[in-house]
Amino acid sequence: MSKKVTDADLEQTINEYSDTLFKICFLILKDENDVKDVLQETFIKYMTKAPDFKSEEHKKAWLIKVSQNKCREFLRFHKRHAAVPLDEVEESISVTNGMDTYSIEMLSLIWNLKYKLKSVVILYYIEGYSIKEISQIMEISESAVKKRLERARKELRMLTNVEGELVYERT
Amino acid sequence: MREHDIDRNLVSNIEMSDEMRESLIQDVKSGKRSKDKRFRYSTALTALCVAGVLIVSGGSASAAYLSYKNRVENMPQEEQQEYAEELENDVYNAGDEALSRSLTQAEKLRYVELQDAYYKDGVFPEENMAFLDTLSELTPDMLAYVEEDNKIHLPEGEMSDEQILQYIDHEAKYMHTIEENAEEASTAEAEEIDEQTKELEEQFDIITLEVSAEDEEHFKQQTKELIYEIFGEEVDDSWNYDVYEMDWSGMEGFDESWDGYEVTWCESDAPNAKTYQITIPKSSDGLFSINVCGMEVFAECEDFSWEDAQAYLPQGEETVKKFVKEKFGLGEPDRVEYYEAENVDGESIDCSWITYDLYYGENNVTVSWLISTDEVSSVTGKNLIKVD
Repeated sequence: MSKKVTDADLEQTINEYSDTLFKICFLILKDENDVKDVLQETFIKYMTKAPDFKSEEHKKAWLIKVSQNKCREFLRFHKRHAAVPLDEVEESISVTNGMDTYSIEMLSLIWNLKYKLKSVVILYYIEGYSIKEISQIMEISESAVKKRLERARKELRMLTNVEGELVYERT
Repeated sequence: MREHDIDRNLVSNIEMSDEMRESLIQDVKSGKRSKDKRFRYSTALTALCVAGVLIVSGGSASAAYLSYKNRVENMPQEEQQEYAEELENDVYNAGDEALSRSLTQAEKLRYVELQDAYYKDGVFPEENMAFLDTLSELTPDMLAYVEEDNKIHLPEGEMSDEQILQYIDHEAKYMHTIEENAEEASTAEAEEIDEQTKELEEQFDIITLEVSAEDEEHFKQQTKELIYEIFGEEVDDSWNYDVYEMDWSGMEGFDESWDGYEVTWCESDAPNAKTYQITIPKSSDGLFSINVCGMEVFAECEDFSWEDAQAYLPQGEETVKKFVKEKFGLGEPDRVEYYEAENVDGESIDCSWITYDLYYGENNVTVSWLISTDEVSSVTGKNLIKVD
């Protein structure tokens, strides 16, 4: 059974999760106004469907899943931001402000990944979800998540050196 | 810390501004949809794109088809304005949410017949559906769109044929208005389209190719026969026909053996017209899948909760096993699995069909079975060979 979402609940949910969703969607769409459109659609779905969640984690995963679907829907029709380089968006958001060269390079590599790879990288490495959880969020098999992570690692050329430090090289 | 961890601080600068968050809260509270209308109509637009391709590739158009196109394309200025306003007013109302009540079973069956007559024979209502500003203008026997609550109000009693035709006419004109909006947007972005298409193909790793006229004719004949042999329906040139070559080998989990052709036969331009879809592998004479969909197929089907549907599992299993044996020469499967229907959010939903997976060693064949009519609506498997 679903319940009605009150204004207070809606406001609290947006305040609680909009930052996380904004980060994930911005890395995919690369334009803050498009991200706002996606989040607007996501929270309207939350409001109109008013699902019952087992926990806050369940709620967060549901919101991520819906926003990812909305990003994919958006890209299907537009796709114009896919090739926007990192430095071009710096005018609207200082994405790399205060970062060292290593971090900027890494972010740049993630930035340029294809949607399918980038979405699992974000959920696995940045949001800390397990492969099983990602498979549920993305509605793909666990083996597909593993394959995408493998391909992403290959593209990022991520290697661990003998001291256990993370190193990478450009493809 | 996870091996190969990426520093979460990489995205610490990516933050939503307070102004944007506040604007988001206000917009969502008021139910305002995003400026991008394509979010709302992505399904409809996809259907329209398909219909557009079908129309272009369908060759000569019948007089009835021209009559329907002529009707929606030449709405009076005032009526066009009403539809544009309805589109603008469309605040998170979609599908059944846009209606004051669901269609009754009897209305669904009449709808199917009259929709066919509307699109194929040029049978139109005598009057247009009413547009009202306020609910106070509505009477219990009226069919009308009311701007105040942004809903189409169906009469309390059964709709007459004239009212059903008015409703079908309304849908056709509304879809046309969406299409016009999309075309305007497309014109504005015309320079980007080619590039976007290429990027899309790259993004989804699926390449869609046009086939030669010779191949097109070959697949036309082949699939006509398949539809007749599997579903017993004789499709002809009055149906919209289209074929694409699909290159799946770039996708994860697929290799060249999945490359093939996707063929569609659509009975009319109606958004929910009866449609057959067939996918044929490039590397063999078999087929990957064949299915039938559209309101005509489902109008007679009752929805069942999963709890109630389970009582029919043995009957469905018997039907699908008989079907794959007769049509594809497949024997007793090693095991059979079936699934509860779920929506995109993973919630259980009432459903008119049950999906069975029949396992033969490492291969499986997926079959959808309609509970009420005891008929198969789709079958999918790798390299299914039709028995002669």
